[in-house]
Amino acid sequence: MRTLCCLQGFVSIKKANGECESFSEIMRIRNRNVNLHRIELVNTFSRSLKDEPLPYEIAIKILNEIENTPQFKLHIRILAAGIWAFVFTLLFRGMFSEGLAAAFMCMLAYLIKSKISEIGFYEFLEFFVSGMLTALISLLAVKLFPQMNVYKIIIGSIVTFAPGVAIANSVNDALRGDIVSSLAGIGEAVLVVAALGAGVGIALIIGLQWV
Amino acid sequence: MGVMNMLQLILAFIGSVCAGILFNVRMEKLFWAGLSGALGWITYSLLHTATGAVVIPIFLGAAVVGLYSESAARLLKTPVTIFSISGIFPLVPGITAYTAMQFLVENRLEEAAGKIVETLACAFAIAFGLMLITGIFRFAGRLKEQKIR
Repeated sequence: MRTLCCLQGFVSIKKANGECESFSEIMRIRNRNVNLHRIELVNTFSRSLKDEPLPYEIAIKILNEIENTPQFKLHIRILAAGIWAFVFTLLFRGMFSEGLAAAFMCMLAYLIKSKISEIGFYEFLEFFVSGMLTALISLLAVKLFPQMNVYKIIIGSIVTFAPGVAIANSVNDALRGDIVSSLAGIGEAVLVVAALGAGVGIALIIGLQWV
Repeated sequence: MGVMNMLQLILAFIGSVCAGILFNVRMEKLFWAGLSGALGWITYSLLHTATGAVVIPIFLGAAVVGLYSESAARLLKTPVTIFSISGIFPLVPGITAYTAMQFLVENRLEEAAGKIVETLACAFAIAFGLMLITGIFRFAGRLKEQKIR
């Protein structure tokens, strides 16, 4: 399950003329995200590696190719985030209008967050800023349409950033015995939640007096 | 099954497909990833409305997701993770964790503590549900191996 967050850490063992040589490569991982297609590719690659060992250079080249496999285009991802926010709000018994507002807000927040991370910024500040902006725009929406509930809109629009999968995965890792990766995952999830909560909270404290 | 359940099934399916897109699941496997989420959510939803409990329905929902993804992974020759991650996406306690943090910011400490405990309970329920099924499948595989020998 470690491959979920870190893909670049890679150890390869080369066998040549019956001798065992081992190479290890350690890298610092700055960008973490969940990319299931890469997991699939790395999985097939490592299975093929078990059957026929490859020289180090070729293996690294294949892994670099895997790292650069295309993702879905940004607008498709934004649309998916919006639809998920809408679906989530409806699943948890929100109104139709609140779902639409949440979807709009979520798409905006996703766009802003991906733009910020393109420029390059601290990861937790990204969550802080996007949480704060979402809350501010939601307050504006509630000011315009007072029959909607601010909290429902904010929760719906923030659901794509909330690290639920990370929390569940870390607990799963811990149960399987991967203590280090599970502790790192839980720590990161707590920090992300803290950043989101702080951003939204500050915006709400300032904004609710104005509304 | 009533109209509401049908609607929830469809919504959960769409949601899990979106989760698959966000996690970059390949196009031809998106449908199967979505089905995983729909099955897990409908299990949770039916049990939740029937009993009012939260943790046990999530456990059983995760178990259904695990069962589906282990079988689908064997049939489609894909890693289990692809189906299980998209499948648990609707059940996962991300918003509960966020609500706990919001209560902390608003200085409602008792409610915050309750939400934190709920987050942990849900996360453990999901992990145990997935692990139970994985364990059974692994165990069955080992037994089969030993019989062949």
